Amino acid sequence: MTDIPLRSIFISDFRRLEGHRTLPLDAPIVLIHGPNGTGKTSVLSAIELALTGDIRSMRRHDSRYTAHLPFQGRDFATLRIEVSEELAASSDPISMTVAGNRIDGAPKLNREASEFYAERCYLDQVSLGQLLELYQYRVGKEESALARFVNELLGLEQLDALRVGLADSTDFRLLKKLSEPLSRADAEAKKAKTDLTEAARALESARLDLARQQDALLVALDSLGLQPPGEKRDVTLRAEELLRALRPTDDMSAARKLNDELTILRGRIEALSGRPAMRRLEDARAAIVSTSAKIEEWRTEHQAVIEAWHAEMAKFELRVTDSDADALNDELNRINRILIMQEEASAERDRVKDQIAARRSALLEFQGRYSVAQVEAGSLVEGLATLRDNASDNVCPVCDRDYSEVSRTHLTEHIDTKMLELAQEGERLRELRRQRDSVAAEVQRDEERLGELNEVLLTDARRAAINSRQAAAAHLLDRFQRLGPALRLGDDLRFQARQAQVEIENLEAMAAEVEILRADLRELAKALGAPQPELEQSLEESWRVLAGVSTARLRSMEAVQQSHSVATQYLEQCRQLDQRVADFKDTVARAAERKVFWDNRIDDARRLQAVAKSVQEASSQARSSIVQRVFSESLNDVWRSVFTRLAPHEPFVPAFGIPNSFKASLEVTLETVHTSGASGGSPQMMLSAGNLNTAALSLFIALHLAVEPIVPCLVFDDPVQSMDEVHIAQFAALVRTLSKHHQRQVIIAVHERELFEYLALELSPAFRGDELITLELGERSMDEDRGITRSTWVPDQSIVV
Amino acid sequence: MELSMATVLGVLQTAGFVQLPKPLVVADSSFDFDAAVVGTGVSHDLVVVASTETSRTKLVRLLSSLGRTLDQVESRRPVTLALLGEDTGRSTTAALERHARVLEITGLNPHVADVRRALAILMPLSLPSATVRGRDPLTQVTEILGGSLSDEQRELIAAARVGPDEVRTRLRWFIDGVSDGDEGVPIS
Repeated sequence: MTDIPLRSIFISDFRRLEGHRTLPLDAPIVLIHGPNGTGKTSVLSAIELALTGDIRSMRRHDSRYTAHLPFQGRDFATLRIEVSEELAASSDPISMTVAGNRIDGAPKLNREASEFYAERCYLDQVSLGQLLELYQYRVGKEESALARFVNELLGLEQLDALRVGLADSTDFRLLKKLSEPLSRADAEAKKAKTDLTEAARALESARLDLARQQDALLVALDSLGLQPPGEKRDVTLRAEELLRALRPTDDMSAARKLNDELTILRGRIEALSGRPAMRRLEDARAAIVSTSAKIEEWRTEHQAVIEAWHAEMAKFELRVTDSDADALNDELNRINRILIMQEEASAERDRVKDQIAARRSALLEFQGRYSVAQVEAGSLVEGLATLRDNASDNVCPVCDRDYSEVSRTHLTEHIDTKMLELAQEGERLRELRRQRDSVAAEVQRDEERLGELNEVLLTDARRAAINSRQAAAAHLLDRFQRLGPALRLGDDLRFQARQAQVEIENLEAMAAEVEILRADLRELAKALGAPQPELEQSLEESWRVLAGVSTARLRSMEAVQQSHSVATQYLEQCRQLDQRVADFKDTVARAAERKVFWDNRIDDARRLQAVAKSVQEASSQARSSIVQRVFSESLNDVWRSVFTRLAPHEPFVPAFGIPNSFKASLEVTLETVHTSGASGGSPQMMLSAGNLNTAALSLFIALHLAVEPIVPCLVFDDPVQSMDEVHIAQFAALVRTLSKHHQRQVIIAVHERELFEYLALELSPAFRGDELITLELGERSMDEDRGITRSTWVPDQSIVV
Repeated sequence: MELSMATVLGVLQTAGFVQLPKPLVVADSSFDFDAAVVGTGVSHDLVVVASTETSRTKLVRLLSSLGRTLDQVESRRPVTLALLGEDTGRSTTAALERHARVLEITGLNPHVADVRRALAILMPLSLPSATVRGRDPLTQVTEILGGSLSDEQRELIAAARVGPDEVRTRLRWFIDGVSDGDEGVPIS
């Protein structure tokens, strides 16, 4: 063993160890002996504290254990441990001081090495008896120490990451929850499938409908005498050609037109039957001859007189009216109004002349009075104004008297009062002038009226002519009244002649209409393909014959058209169904395309699912393999190997139950396996107390050996207390194997002297460089060598090899 | 019995023991054990082999004498008796254990595994190698999958080094990638 992890420890006043001591530890095996109470456990706990900063077994009992660490009566304890360079967290030889609840100084090992030492290297005396329970003890949901160790040993985190991360690949539904696009693709694929099924169903339905309609179309064509050649599926195209060629609509239209013409013709015939008969044409012609003779006779008797009177009237130049009598009466009335107006204007002219004379006289008087008053007022005002200019000293310029003698007011003020009074006299002058101007205006108006009257009044010659025209009009009116009967007779005769002429024209038009109707009937008969009407047949009779033919023809055509219409409807339905079938074919094609598209995506996803599943299954397989291997080889094999060395005669061998679940954190159970291979109960049930201790001790050693030794040492505190001699011998051999074959530094504290000596012999150096240190506490420590013995290898000459 | 003896010696020699000449001579004294081997290298154990055909008295005497002789010459060799043959009973074994460690190999013709198990305490422990213990679990997954991995398998396994969320994310990414119908979807 080239690099011994623990080298030495300095202990001062620590627990049972009073004073200072430096204990060497730099040998592959260190045996510590001392009777009870001499400090064996103190040395081992000092090593633990110096290495890790804690003493776990004491902390489990009392978290304030540090207060009890200094030797009784000392204030503090001091520790300093030396370890190999590889293990030392710091190369500084720092001491650790413990006082009260304080620990000053860093532990010698780093955290990882500290934990390894505390859990995998040092088995204290108290823990040995409870080891299995301690290992399996759990707080709440925390893992037990054993489970934690096993799970760390398994190192399944990455495999579990793979298994957990790919868990969704085990079920397509989970995969859909994981991937929204996959969920959508799956829904789309299902929808595409449904769409395709529905579209195919719709296509089939449309095809059936089309077949039915094609059968119906064939029946309809047959009723029209049409039989399309070729395959049934082409019936639509061929039927369309046949029906287009048949086209009964045009014939029907022509027949209806002929029928309409017949109807119109009937109306014309009925209208003709309501008019006068043809025989009245001769009577009308005779009447017009008679009336013409009477008119000639009237002209002979009255024409000259009437024309003479008209000549007179023409000379009179009367305004045109409805009748000559009215015109004459109007003229007479107009002349009478002129004459009356002349009389009235003449009387008014005389009255205006007298009024003008009176008003001119009054005007002269007003003018005289106004002139006089104007002169008087002007002279006085001018005089007073002159006086006022010279009366500022209140002395009258006329009489030189002081005006204050007669009045309290100033003379100028007095003159102003007088001038004001004269101004008021001016008002009277203005009134006189207004009256004068008013009279002058009235005179002027009278003169203007007089001028107007003179304009209206006619001259005497003119008045005589009007009187003459009045007498002539009266004469003409008288003559007209005497010609009245002859004039009315003439008018009656001319009216009768016009009436007779109109009747003749009507009767001649009716005869022409009859001929036209007969010609129309003949044309219609020809168009209908019917026999020509007989001449002796009346119009009504001929029409009835043709109407019967037309009606029968129409009905026949309507029947054909009905069949054609039905066939056309079937044809249209076939066309629509053809289109529907074509549309559904497109729909089916598109649905199939979509289905393929989404199915491909689902297939790709399922391929990836298979890939992921293969990885997941491989990870599960690897996990099972690792679990099996670790439990079998790293744990159970080593444990069994160690246990059977210590208890070779025990038929029940403790073992870890190999888990078969895939939980991320494995539950660890302990069981026993009989040497026959049969499963036993738990170690606590199957093993004796001694072997249970052996099981615990062997488990501790197995767990230490199962992992890479961060701190390659094993420290036991009196581990063989309850062992019999066989177990002790086996244990000694095991310690030797651990030390010499597996390079573990082993430190063992024992209290029995005999056992100590036995172990010192059994564990003595076996090869060059091998060493054994024995540390004896108690009285031996007072010896010169302080109870410390370092044994080295000595060649054995007793046996020749 | 000779065959069994040979098996025992073979197991011990395999473990590095060297057979000593017969009879065993210690400090000029001879001991008539059936065979004797001594450890080499880091072991200096003396293992004497006897069969139960030898009488109990003789065995106890031989073993006692050997112990005393070794003590006299201050030899520190641990002594172990490999006792081959029928079960001699607890009293005999106890008598022998006062002088040496006794490892019983019961049966007239024990199997080599039984011999190895009986003598295990003299041999190094069989510990799992560091390479077996420390093999990368994900490499084992790769081996199970046959070594020739697809890109997807490789990426999923690589993601496991980050954690389960990364694996799940990678799986989702793959599935999303092939399931996405945003492009190229036929018009309905």
